[in-house]
Amino acid sequence: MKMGKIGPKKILGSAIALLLGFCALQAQEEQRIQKTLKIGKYQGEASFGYTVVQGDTVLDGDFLMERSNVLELLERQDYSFLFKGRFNKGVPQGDWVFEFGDFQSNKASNVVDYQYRVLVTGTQESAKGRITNGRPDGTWIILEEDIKDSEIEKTVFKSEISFANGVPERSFQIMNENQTLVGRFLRNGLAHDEWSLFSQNGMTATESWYFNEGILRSIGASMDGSVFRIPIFKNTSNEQVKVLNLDQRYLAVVDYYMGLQTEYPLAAAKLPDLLQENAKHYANIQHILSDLGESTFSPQFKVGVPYFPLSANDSTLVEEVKAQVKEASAISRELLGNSQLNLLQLTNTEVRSYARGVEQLKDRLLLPLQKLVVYDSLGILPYLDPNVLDTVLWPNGVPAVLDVSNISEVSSEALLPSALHEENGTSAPTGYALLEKRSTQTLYALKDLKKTLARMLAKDKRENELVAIEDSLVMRQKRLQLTLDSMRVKLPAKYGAALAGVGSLAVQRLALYSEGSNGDDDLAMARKTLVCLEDLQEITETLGEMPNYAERIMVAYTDRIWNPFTATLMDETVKKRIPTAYQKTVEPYFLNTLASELSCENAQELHSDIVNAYERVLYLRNAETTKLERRLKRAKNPREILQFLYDETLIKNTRP
Amino acid sequence: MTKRTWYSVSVFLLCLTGSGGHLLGQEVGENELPATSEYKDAVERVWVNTYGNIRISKRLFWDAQTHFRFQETENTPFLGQMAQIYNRHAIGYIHSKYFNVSLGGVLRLNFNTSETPVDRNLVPEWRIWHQYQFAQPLENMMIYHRIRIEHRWTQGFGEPSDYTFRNRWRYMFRMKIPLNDHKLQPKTLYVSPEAELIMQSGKAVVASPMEDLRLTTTLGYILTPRLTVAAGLMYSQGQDLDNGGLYKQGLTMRFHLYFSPDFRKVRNKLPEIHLSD
Repeated sequence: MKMGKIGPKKILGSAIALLLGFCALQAQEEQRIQKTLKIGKYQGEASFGYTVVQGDTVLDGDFLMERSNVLELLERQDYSFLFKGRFNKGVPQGDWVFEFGDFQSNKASNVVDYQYRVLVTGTQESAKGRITNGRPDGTWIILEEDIKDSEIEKTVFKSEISFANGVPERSFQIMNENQTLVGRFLRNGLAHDEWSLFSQNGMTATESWYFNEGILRSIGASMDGSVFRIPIFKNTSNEQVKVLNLDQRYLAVVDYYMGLQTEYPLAAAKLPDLLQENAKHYANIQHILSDLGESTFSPQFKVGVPYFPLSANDSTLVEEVKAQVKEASAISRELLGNSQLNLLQLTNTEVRSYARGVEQLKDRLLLPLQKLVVYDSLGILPYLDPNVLDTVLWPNGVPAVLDVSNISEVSSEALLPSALHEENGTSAPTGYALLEKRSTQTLYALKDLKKTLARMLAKDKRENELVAIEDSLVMRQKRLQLTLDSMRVKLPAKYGAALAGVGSLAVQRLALYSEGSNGDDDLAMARKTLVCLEDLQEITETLGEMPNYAERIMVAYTDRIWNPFTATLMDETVKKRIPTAYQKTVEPYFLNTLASELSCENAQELHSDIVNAYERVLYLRNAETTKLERRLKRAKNPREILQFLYDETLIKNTRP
Repeated sequence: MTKRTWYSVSVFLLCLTGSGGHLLGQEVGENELPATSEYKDAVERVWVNTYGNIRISKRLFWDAQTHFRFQETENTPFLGQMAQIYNRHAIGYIHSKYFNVSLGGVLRLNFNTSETPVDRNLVPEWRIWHQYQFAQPLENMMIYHRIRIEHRWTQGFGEPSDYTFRNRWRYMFRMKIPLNDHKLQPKTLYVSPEAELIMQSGKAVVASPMEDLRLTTTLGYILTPRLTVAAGLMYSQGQDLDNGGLYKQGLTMRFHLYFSPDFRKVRNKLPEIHLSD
C-alpha cells in the first residue's frame, strides 16, 4: 500500500471519531441554569453554571445571585443582596462582589430616562476583591455605609487588607465611625511592629499593641490622662512559641496575662473591638462561599503565644476542678435561689450569717475557679502560665478569714477557707494542684453550709407548717360545729345521738392535741387531727343526707300497683325485706356506732361504709335478689345483714 | 232503744214469721195476686265470696269468682246449709282506669233448701253474663256504677224439669269511703255502701219484673294492693216469680275476699300500670 493514499473507508472512520470526540467535549462543557437558591438566611434568584463530576453537581463558571423587591421596599423596607463572581470546578476563583442592603424608601419617585427612580435610605454593606483557589488574594475592601436618599452619607466601617494567597501581608487598615486601626504583617502573616489605634479626630495613637514577629510584647495605652505600658509576653523567646490565629481564643490568652496587672484590663482595650468587627464581616462571606463550594475565606492574622503543655497529672487535676466547680456552683445556686432561705435570713441572724458565708464562698473562691473552667472550654490552658494562675485568679489574694460567724462549729478545721493560707511550708501546692485543693475546700465548705442550712430550713418549715395546720384546725372545728348545730335543728331526733358522738369526738381530739407534749411528733399529731376533723365533717354532712337516703330507698323500692277492685293505683313496697333491713337494722346500726364507737381511726371507714351501704341497697333494687331476701328473713344481726347485702353469690344482676 | 221497745219488735217479728205462711196457704191461690202486696219472712243467709282478678296482659284480666251461699233451715238456724255454689268467670278488658267490661259464663249449683222432699237435691243453672263498670273518684272516695246483664237458664228441682230462660238487668251503685286514711291504699279501712236493683224479663216473668233490690253496707280492709277483705250485711227484697204480689226478703251476712295476683314478668309491669299509653 502506498503512503499518502487514504481510502474512503478511513475518511468515514475519522469523521465518526471526530464527531464522537466533539460530542464528548460538549458533555464536559458547563451548563447554565436559573433557579431560586437558599444560602443560610439569604434566599434569591441565582444564575450559575455547573458541571456534573462523578454524579455531583459542581458550580463552574459565572455565578450571580441576587434579591431585591421593589414592592416590599415601597411598602415597608427591603433587604437586598447581590453575590457575583466565578467558580472553577466548585472553587471560587477571580473577582467577587458581595453586597448587602437594608433600605427604606421615601415613597417619592421621579422618571429619568424612561425609568422610575425611587430614592432609598438605609445601609449598604459591600465586599470586593479577588479570590484565588478559594482564598482571598490581593486587596480586599469591606465597606459598610449609611445611605440617605440614595447618596452615601457616611462610612460606618471600612477594612482594607492585602492578601497573598490567603495570607495577610503588608499593612492593613480597619476603621469604624470613631477609630482607625493601622498595622502590618510579615510575609508569613505574623503580626509585626506597632498596631495603633487612632481616634477619628486625634493625631496620636490612643492604644498600641507592640508585636515582634507575632509575639505581643506589650500594650501601650492612655486612659484618663495617664499613660500605661503593659508588658505581655515580654520575655518569651521565639522558641517557646506556638502560632495561633488572632481570634477570640487569642484574646482570652491576652486577657489572662493582662490579669497580672490591674491598671488597664483588656475590657478597656478598644483594639480587639475593631478586629472582631472585621472578623464578623469575613465570617459572613465565608459562610456564603463555603455553602456553595470549597473556600477558606478568613483573614488568617497570625500571632505567637508562649506554650506550657499540660502533663497527664495536670489534666487530671483540671478535670477534678471542673467536676467540683460544677457541683459547688449547683449548691450555691440552689442555696442562694432558695426563697425560703431568703425570707428566713431577714429574721434569723444565724441563718443570715450562714447565707453570707455561701455568698462569700461563691464570690471569692467559686467565681475565680469558674474562670479556669472557661479557659479550659476555650482550649487555651496550654498557653497559660500555671505559675501565675494564683495571681491572675486571685489578684487580691485569697481572703484570710471569711466572715462566717460560727462556721467552725459546722466545718472541720481543715476545710476552713482560712486554712488556705496556713500552708506556707515547702510542700505547698502550686499551679493546678493548688487550684484543685481550693476547689475541694470550696466544695466541702459549701456542702457543710448546705447541710447546716437545710437543717435550719427544715426546722423553720416544720414550725410554719404547724402554725398553718393549727390555723386550719381552728377553722375546721368552727365549721364542724356550725354544721353540727344546723343538723341538730334540721334532722329528726333519732340522729341526735350520732351528731353528739361526732361533736364530742372532735372536742376530745382537739383537747388531746392541745395537751400534747410539744415534742417532735407535734406536727404528725396536728396532721392527724386535721385529717380527723375533715373526716368528721364528711360524716356530719353524710348524716344530714341519711334521711334522704332512707327516703330515696323507700321510693326506689315502691311500685305503683293497679288495684282492680278500687280502680286506683296503690303504692306497694317490693322486695320488702331489703328496704326494711336498711331501715330497721342497718341505719340504726350506723347511728349507734356513730354515737358510741366513733374514733378518728375508724371515722373514714365508717363514713364510706354508710355511703356504700346506701348505694348497695339502691343497686339491689334492680338485681335478682330472691336468695338474698330468703337469707334476710331470719337475719337479725346488723353485721350479718350487711354481709348478706354485699354477698355477690346471693344475687343475679338482671339489668340488660 | 229501751228494753220495752226491743220486746215489742220481737213479738211483731214472731207474729210475722209464725202466721204468715199459714195465711198465704189458705187465702191466696198459687198464681192469684193478693189484694195488697205481701212480704214473706226474711230468709237469713251467709255468703262467703271470693273475687279473683287475675291480670293476664296489659289490658286483659281473668275475672274468677267463687261464692259459697248458705241459707238457714229449720235444722241449722244460723249459718244454714249450703244453698248455692257459684262459679262466675269472665275475661275482662280494661279500657281505662275508670272503665272496664267483662264477658263470661256462670255455673251455679243450686242445692235444695226447702223442707219438702223433692226429686233432686242439686240442679245446675247456666248463665252468660256481661258487665260494664264505671268508676269515678270523688274527693277522697270512689264511686262505682255497674251494669250487669245476665242470660240465665234455670231448672226446678222436680224431675223431669225443663230449663227456664230469663234475662236479668242489674244496676249497682257503690261507694268506697276510706275511714282511716285520706285515700284508698294498703292498711286502709273503708266503708262501702251499695245498692243494686235486679230486674228480670222473659216468658216466665209475668208480674214480677223486680227480682231483687239489694241494700248492702260492707266494711273493708285493704291488706295490700293485691289483697282486701270485707264483711257486711245485706237486706234484700224482690217479687216472687210465681206471684208478683208476694215479696221475698233476705238478710245476708257477706264475707268477701278480694285478690288480684299479677304473674306477669316484673319488667312488663314496671314502673307503673299504665293504661292510657
